[in-house]
Amino acid sequence: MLTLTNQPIDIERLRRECQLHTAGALVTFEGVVRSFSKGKNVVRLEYEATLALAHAEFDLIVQEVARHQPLLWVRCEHRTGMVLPGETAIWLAVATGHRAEGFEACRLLMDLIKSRLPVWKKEYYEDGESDWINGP
Amino acid sequence: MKRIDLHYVAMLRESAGKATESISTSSPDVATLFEEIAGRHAWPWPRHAFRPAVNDRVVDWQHPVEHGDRVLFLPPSSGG
Repeated sequence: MLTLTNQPIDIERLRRECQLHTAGALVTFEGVVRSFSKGKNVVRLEYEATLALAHAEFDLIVQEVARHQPLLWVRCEHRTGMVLPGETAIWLAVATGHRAEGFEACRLLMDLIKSRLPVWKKEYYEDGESDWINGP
Repeated sequence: MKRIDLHYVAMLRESAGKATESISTSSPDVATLFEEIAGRHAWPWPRHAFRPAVNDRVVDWQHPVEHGDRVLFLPPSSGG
């Protein structure tokens, strides 16, 4: 399941959602906002997302990864709006039977999320400039 | 002519100066529609950098434009 939130990500709350007793591995990834980018100091980010499309695309991504790895549970929360350096931008958890497939599934999911989830990031710099990341 | 809703995101929203607009178009598919809208807003970006989405589903560029569609052009993702 994916949630998009403009509030700080509560990792403990998300972690408690996983109550599986069949999973031998719970692999998590936490993406944190860096305070520098392209040689500049970053003062904040703005994340923008399309809600319905993001959920639809996330479901497709999970289905694709599930064809290669035996997923038991997937949970992701992504920030929207203003996010400051040091704050968590994304939290992803993958439960699987064993650790090897958990690591691989988490890596695959993050790669696809970064390349396909309809979420866009604008960086604001200390010098007053700003830039859409991965802009065309 | 078909009436459709365009939703702009990220740099396209900033360039268009609005988040949505309702337009009439004779574009048969989303590729033609992109070129029409890009010309209208003088977008400098190539079509291949984007993905089209119609009614909350990512589609290919040959997807037909139908009356009442909700269309987005998705810039390269940068989430995570």
